[in-house]
Amino acid sequence: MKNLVCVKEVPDPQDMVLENGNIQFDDPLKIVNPYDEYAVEEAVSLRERFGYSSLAITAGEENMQVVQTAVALGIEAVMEVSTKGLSDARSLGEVIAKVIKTVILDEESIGLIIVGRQSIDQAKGQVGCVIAETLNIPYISNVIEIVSLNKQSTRVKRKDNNGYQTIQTTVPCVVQVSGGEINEPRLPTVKGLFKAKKYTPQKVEASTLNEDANKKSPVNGNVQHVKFELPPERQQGKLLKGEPQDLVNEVVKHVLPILNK
Amino acid sequence: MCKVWIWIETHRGQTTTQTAELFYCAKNAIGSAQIEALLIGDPNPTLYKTLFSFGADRIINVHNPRLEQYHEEEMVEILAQLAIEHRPDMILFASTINGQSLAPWLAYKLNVPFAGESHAFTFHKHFVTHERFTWSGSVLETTQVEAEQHILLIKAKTYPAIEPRNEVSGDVIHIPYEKVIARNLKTKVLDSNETETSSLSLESANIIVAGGRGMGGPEGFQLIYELADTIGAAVGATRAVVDAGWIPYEHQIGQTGKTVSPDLYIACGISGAVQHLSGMQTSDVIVAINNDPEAPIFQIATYGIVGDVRHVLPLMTSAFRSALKQ
Repeated sequence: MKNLVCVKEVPDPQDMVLENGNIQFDDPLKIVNPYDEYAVEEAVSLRERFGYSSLAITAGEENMQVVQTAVALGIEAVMEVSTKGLSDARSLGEVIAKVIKTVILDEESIGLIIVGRQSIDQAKGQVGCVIAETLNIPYISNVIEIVSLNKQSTRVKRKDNNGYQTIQTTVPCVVQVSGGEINEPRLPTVKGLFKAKKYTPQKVEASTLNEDANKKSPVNGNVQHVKFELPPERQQGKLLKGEPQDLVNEVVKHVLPILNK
Repeated sequence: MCKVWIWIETHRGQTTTQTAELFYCAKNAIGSAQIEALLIGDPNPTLYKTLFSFGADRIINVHNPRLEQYHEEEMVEILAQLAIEHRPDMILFASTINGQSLAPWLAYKLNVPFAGESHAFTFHKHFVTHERFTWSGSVLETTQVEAEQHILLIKAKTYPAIEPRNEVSGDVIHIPYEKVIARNLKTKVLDSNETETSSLSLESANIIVAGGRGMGGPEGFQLIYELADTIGAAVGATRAVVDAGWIPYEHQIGQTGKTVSPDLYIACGISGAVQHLSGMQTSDVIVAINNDPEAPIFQIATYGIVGDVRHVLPLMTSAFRSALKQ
């Protein structure tokens, strides 16, 4: 049995420019989607805790950064799924589910399929439940701790609005990990970085996989991207210098009406 | 004609702050003629009264002792069954921890397009235009969704709270649990533990005092709590201090944490990394205290105080204290 972890590669938002309502990147730095860092860390630590190895799946056009980072951090294998033209959470989730079913599950049993909370580019948090629904397996969101894991079942702690709960389920199962609360992502080791340099991922072409006979009907509606804009610019404020007590008094005078609202 | 469902979330038998905002959206932004409150669990007359006063035309209640414990998988199954049978035009979710994972899941089950969490909407016939922040808050994206049925995930403070009306009665439709019971659930809730504070407080807060590494350590962070107590603010933090263990993750603001837009944000010892700014840049008034005049936080601050935060904060706390007494 092995665990899977889904990782997305995204351009660093700091290298982004907007032109005519479209996002442009000029040779941007590529980063691992920040929420997925927690998913990768969890997969690596599950090997240390329970001995199950892990396979990272990444979809998209170019995933060098994901492949390198995942291997450097201690993920045993990476699979790159080429998904030309697909980018929304729903289709990505369905493609990943198809790859899991047709390519991976044939060879070996799967424990957890770990996904991050959301991507920073789409920020929908939908991939995990789409994978679970498509494969007809359990889905648990907002997981903050994997308590136990064996070849039949897992027990996890998740959070909700009002507190925490423990959930028991069978494997394979999709767990969406909460950012920040579940672990503290480690940094790659020098040995890991060397290993990553020499590593070649397994490649899968999504369009060559057999169509699923039970495929869900297409979404009932249309989502159309209209435009991207920069967030409304803030007016440059007042930088106050002088005696601390005077500055404090001035600020308090200005903001007091907000407190009394 | 438009039938709007509002998924009701409660905390200790009371509706959450955002509930009144969702009703405002249904009534004033969508202009719905039929607003139905979806209350799964807790058939509580006080809650009914609140929901009718917010403008619910009907309350749809499903109750069973089993529903007292929140079970996400069961909830999504029940909602899907109800939605298929009763066909609402829109289902509104508050963007809470529960709403954020339930809405995309239900959307997929119902084959409804999902646009993600948004903070501004316009409604026109079958079209809903969404405005949302993506790319860690660095971009404002507008998308238009055309569908027969919409699922909206509404960020806290997108709408003001609706003014309660005097009308406090109406129809409550009780749907027997047996009719919507979800069979063959794949997961099982073993136990639930309620924490003292609801984690919703930060996103709904009107005033936030937040601390960064400049606070020096967990002891220095006490100054943040003192100011927050004095002015009735929620406490926020940067990722650096959450990672350092000074304060739990639920207080983290910015990328991989929460996005807030309070009326007043007091940033203490926060230099203003992009990842943090993305989570609070839409705050109305920003006060920043930092000893480095070049700190990026000052570029977005309404009022910036250059100085040692551990010296300035106690002065500010006592200045507020005496000003509020008057």
